[in-house]
Amino acid sequence: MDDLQFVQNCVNQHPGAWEQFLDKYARLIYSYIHGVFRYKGRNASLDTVNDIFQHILYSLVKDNFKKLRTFSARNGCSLATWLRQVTIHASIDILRQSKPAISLDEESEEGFSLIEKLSDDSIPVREILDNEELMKRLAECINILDEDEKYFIELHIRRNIALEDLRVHLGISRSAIDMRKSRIVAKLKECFKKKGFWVR
Amino acid sequence: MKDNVFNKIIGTIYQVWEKNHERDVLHPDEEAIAAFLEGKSPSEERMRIKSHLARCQECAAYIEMHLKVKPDENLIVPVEIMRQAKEMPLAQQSTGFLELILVLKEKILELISTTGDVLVGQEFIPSPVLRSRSIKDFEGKVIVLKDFKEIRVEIRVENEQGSASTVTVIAKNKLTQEIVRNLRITLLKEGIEFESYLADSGQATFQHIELGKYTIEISGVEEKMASVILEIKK
Repeated sequence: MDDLQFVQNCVNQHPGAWEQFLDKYARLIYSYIHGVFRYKGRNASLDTVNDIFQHILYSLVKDNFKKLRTFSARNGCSLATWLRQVTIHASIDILRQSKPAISLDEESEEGFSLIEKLSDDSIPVREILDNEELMKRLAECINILDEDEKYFIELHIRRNIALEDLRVHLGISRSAIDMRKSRIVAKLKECFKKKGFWVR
Repeated sequence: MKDNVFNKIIGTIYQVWEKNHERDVLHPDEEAIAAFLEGKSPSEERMRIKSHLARCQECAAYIEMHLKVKPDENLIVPVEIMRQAKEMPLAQQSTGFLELILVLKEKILELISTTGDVLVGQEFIPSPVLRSRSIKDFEGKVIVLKDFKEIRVEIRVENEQGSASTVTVIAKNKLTQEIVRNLRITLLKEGIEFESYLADSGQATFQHIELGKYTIEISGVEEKMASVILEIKK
């Protein structure tokens, strides 16, 4: 039985279908809630994980399975990956709503994270941070990158995704990943130089 | 210059670029992201999603989690939680109910549990969030909201600074937020009707409610539309 048929059985309330759904996917949902909290360094009590687990399942079944009905296996995506995304979305949204007043990786008004400012004692970075005009000029260099390269910066540099994990995600070889990184760095160094910021 | 310092500079500059860039407000839905992560999106859609992710912090955070979170596969869902989950579709089939359990203190109402969303500041917060924030004490009043099949019900419990409370029930059309006419709102204790109002304005207020366990039924012309179980303890 494919995923779509399986979901149809659930939403049409075939006997035992919802129980099968839980037997197959409850642990996945539960462990991802736990994983998101642990990764974010937030201590989630068992009660909180249980509450969010029920909140997610409730969101799937409420209004006659309205949410679960939206799964249509579009472009052949699997139910497991979709549920993982539903779980990650819900957990992050709850974390966002319940975050403490000051978070270390929360962006400040100027757009720089506090953690970056606190941990950074290198003079060149400070010089750039303090020079708003230079920053704006250098930011224009991002426009010379194509969408793949911008996406690479977002994941690898901004979000610290390891090159090996990126290789798997992008489905390319390790050497292709290394080449992509070198190409981006070379392009930006060249552009920065033209804008008056010399990078040795 | 060391690589990590240069990376940091790129990251910082990228943030400035992102901030000055117009945001794409059409976020891909969970199914689009799932197909993208599995490498199954058509190339045009794949490029559109990548382009969105390169500019949208909110959506990029979901991808980050997908790539970084390593779930503990040994975790087991507690038996009782699993049992409740299995009963969820059944509970949905019935009218459903809103449960609200409170402890009345001198000037405070302590929220013990609820199946609705609770007003904190300007926003209604789902109960799991409330618990994770350890919010339980409310000064003066507690306002709880829940959507039923056709109506949205808001319950306001106000502390009368003694052993009594005022309970206001407001019901609106779930989709249009308009007042639902011809509603009957009834307060019962141990199955006995206490007070009942034909609430043409869509709301009813019950004053001097003593400690105890109550049921509030909201009915339309032909059928029951919502039930509220309210318990106020000392």
